[in-house]
Amino acid sequence: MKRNKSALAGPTLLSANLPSLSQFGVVSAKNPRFIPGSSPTARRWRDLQAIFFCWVAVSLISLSLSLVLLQTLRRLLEIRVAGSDPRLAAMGILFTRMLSSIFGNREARILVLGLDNAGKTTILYRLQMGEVVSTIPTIGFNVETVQYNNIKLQVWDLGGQTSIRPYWRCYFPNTQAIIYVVDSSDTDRLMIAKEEFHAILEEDELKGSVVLIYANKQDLPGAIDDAAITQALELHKIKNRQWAIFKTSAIKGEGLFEGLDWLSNTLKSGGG
Amino acid sequence: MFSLFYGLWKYVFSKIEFHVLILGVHKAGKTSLLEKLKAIYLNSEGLPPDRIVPTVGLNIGRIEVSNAKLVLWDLGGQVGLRTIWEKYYEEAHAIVYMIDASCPSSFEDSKSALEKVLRHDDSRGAPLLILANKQDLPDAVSSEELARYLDLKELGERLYLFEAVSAHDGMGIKYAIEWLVDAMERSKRTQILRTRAGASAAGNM
Ligand SMILES: Nc1nc2c(ncn2[C@@H]2O[C@H](COP(=O)(O)OP(=O)(O)OP(=O)(O)O)[C@@H](O)[C@H]2O)c(=O)[nH]1
Ligand SMILES: Nc1nc2c(ncn2[C@@H]2O[C@H](COP(=O)(O)OP(=O)(O)O)[C@@H](O)[C@H]2O)c(=O)[nH]1
Ligand SMILES: [Mg+2]
Ligand SMILES: [Mg+2]
Repeated sequence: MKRNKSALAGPTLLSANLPSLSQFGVVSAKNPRFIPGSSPTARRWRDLQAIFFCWVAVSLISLSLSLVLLQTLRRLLEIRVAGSDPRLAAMGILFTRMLSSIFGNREARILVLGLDNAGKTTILYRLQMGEVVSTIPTIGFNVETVQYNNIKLQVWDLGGQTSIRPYWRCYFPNTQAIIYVVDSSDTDRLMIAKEEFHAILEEDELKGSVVLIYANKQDLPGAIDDAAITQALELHKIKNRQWAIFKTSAIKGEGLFEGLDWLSNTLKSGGG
Repeated sequence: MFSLFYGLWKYVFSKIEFHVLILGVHKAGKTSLLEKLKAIYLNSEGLPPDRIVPTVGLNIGRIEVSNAKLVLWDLGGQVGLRTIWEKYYEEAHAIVYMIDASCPSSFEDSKSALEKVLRHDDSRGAPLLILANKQDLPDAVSSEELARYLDLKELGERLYLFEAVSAHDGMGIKYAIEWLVDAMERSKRTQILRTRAGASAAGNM
């Protein structure tokens, strides 16, 4: 990271502070290819690449959208309602209202991330309608979205699919917060959860976002507590943004509200 | 080559950023202090006391005090959460240690937790500001009394100050934090951290 920065700092400084150098022909303005990476051609090429990636992503999404539709139909047949909780439903609405008031008309995005089977989809449904929906593990590049006015909650699975990483960036702009969900009973995969977590925090577009961690599935007997998850995920390595961890059970609806409360307080008092 | 000049230029001209670690047992008032500092130095509202909940992670505040930039790290003080304190020592220029002066039953726990901080290698030489908080309450003990009770043996050459404050009404806070900035500017540890940062920047060239 630092290496990158100092490499960039060189030419930037050169052009900013010593414009006269080019007059002496030290840096040829006519032959911009001499400074690889910063020439307009290279930049345009990179832009083109980015546009292409996003285009591919969009077409992929519309494809998967139809798949999702099919899945949803299947799910609808499988829905098992284990008691709906009006308090939770009210909480989802309260939370999104609070956020709307914080962000005004600005677009805001909250990413809900984690390995598959962590409980993300369950949490999303829980916040929205207060119902427990029995879900099948999400396959492929499946993005679930909930929109409330200008606030978007987007869920996707991490792990495995490094090949589609370049498309992620299409979703990153305007992300104020990340909710990272961990299956606290799946200790075998905590290492992977940790690596994926720190990889995503490195993304430039996400540098300013605050992080809420849900140590989920606390109702299961093998679940480890928040302190242990803190250690396993090496949360102490986060030093330039605010974070908090909460024990949750998406099934029972416990801990979710406390986490969201922290999130809206933190965003309100200025974020990271 | 350029990054060398750039590094040098940055070394000479940029304001130093000081990392201040706020520690103390739970309910001492660390987060309240952080919010009060934000209110004082950023002219912002800060979170009102009734919206402050126990910390289970890291809160950050960035303020400027007498021309120095401070990054404030506020961690949780519950027993299970104290294990991560030490991960922040290495990069901290100074430590603020908060104690609820109105709650004598917490003093023993506070004392042993503080002694543990001071014994740790990575916190060596860091200026220490010990705050006897909640002075707005009638039964709060004075900073002298608290110092007598703590009877710290491991201070060594460390710069330190006991100060009576209230994170609620703001009493004593400005004086204490200005002392801390001055202490950090004078301390050997700041020199050491700077040299180390410079060395790692050079290593990146
Ligand atoms: N009267 C009074 N109450 C205070 C003062 N500072 C903090 N409190 C109260 O003490 C309680 C704990 O304050 P926090 O700021 O959450 O304490 P903390 O040290 O951050 O606690 P943890 O995050 O659990 O480690 C809250 O109810 C505060 O309102 C003070 O100066 N005077
Ligand atoms: N016991 C328990 N099971 C949960 C909890 N949260 C989710 N699950 C179950 O874990 C499985 C995966 O959940 P899902 O939301 O699909 O995970 P996703 O892949 O992260 O979206 C489902 O069978 C859920 O019912 C929880 O808090 N406790
Ligand atoms: Mg899912
Ligand atoms: Mg706190």
